[in-house]
Amino acid sequence: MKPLRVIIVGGSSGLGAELARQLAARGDEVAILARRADALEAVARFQPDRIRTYPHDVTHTDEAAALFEDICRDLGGLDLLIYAAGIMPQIEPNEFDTEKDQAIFRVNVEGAIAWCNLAATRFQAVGAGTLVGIGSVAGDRGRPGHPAYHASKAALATYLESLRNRLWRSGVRVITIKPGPLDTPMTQHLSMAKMPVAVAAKKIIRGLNRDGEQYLQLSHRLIFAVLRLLPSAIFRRIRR
Amino acid sequence: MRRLSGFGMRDLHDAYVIPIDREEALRELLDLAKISRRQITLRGAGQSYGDAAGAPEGWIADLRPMNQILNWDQTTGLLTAQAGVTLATLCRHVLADGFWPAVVSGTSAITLGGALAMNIHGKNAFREGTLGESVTEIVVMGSRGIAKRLTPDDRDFWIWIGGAGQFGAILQATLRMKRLPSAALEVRVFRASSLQEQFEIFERETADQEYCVGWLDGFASGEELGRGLIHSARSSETPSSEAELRRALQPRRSLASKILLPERRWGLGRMLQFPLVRKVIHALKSDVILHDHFRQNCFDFHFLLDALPNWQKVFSPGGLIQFQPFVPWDDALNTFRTLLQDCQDHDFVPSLAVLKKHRASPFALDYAGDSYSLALDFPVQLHRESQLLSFLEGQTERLLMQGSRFYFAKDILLQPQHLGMFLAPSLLHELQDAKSRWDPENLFTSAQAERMGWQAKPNEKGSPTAGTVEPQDRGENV
Repeated sequence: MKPLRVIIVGGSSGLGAELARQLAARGDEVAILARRADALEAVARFQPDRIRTYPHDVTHTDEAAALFEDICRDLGGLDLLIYAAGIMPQIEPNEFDTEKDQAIFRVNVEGAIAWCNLAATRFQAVGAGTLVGIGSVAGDRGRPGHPAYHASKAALATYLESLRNRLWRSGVRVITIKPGPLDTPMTQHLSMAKMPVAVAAKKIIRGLNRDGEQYLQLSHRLIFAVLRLLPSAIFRRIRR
Repeated sequence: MRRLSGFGMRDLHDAYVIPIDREEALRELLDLAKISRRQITLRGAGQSYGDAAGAPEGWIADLRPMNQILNWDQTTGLLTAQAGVTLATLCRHVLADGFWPAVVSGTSAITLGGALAMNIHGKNAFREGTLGESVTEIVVMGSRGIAKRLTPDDRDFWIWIGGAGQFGAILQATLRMKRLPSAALEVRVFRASSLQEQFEIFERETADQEYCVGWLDGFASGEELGRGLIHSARSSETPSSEAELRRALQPRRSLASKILLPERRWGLGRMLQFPLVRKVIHALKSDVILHDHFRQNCFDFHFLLDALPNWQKVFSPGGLIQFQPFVPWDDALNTFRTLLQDCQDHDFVPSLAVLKKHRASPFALDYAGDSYSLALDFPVQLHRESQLLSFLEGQTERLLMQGSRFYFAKDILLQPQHLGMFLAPSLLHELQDAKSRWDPENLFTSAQAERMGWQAKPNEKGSPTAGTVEPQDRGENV
């Protein structure tokens, strides 16, 4: 198989970094982006000849287009873009902080739109390419814990579905990954069973040739199929 | 942005394609490239087999919109056209008045600009040489954006034609057409039972015929190695009927080809991917001759495979590599015998093997010399791709050492060290000097040029700026 040219936005830690490592290990050319240059370098050290680093803050959406073009030129093309950047700050039960919520949307939604639109434009023009957004099962229902986070993942999922329905005739694949809790720095403050990122990354890479929404665990697919159907009046009474 | 590849579908890549419909548009693009520090790759119909008109992530100047025939003079036979005019358009334009280009390639889909950048040859290469020899004038534009007129009196004329678009864009050209007594050719068919016989028939037929081409059966082995058919032809003295002229001017796909190779799905055509199917076809072609002499209109004779548009897609997804060494006349028989044998020994039997005879042409980048060429089409099977490439790399090295040359329109393998093996040091220096004068900023490039390390000579400070010769003094401003 020909090596893929891949951009991973949010590739300095967690799932993005693991995806970079696994893709590079199988021979793909990977460009990783994140704010912290030192963290990016640490990931690239795993395979410096196949992982390129580009420090970038996804909230600076006006810088995305030029950077996207530069990276594509450095990679010699683009086959796959993964948007893995995401934040979930700790929110207290009685906390309603607009600035925090807006920051979540800037990273999880606005950054995603900026990068996915660039990739979608390109992929549609050439009639090929795969776009992956790392969503979450949290986007399936509005649970009480992190309102803006849930809403941001729901927005991302709907945006990606829309892209999918726009691009399917062009031969472009749009995949929404809906992991459950993963063992990443972002979820350190959550006390629940978490899937190791290495396992999640492996599943995501295995599913790159399948379009649509993908849960990483069958149990999540079944549980959320049911949960989505529950009336809100019942859903809010379920203890999580 | 668009996904592009060469004709062989091997170098799939994405690039920014900018249509150029007038000189001014190219000038503006050059200015923008200078400001943005980008390079430009010139592209016509994209019919070169490899990466000669490609540039991953690059800026591609698509010259097809410059497609006007500017002047056609029946009294002199001189035609002036812009670079984007296709050979098909050009041929139809003059055939109606009883003329035909001195040289045409095996497909009419190419553009005039591309044809001159590669300096194409045809089935009469042994007699007429290359297309460039029938050109009386070209208008070119280097990286400074000034249009210049070059004639055969200018040394740069002989460098630009065949220069693979590395000095700049050929914007228009004037060509001398030859008058035809009719739109048909009298074709003679011979069967050769061995490579030796192929050459004997070739020598005999090229002495008095206008065109000659050999179709070899790559599967034939032992004493029959190199067997196949030879078609030789000359213009018919019997004038064409109106129906014949109409058929030549409006070629249509035959019913059989529509059934065998339906354009979108390539159903039965895909069976050509199987060596056994190709073996049977070659055997039938070589053993069964329906007619040993027939009359054929010039479109059908020259552009045989145009009847099957995009036939190369039969070989997707692996694509197609055409390997075409040009071997000096005296060595050709033995060299091709060894080459065909090596192909069989390595189980890389070409789907098509075409023999042609060439004579030297006066261009700086004369890829042929006095030679025979054997064009071998290799369908690429993905699971054996790397073995095929390394086999062909080995053959390239061996053939270059033995004095062979290669043609940029077909090449996918040449490396920087190879150019010096078939171009004299003085000529390489002259080409580099011309590059430095016409394109001091290295604006013009291609994936092929990058691969071959072809760029303007850096000045002392290391930046690729103008050489020591006065820039673009040669030729007349337009």
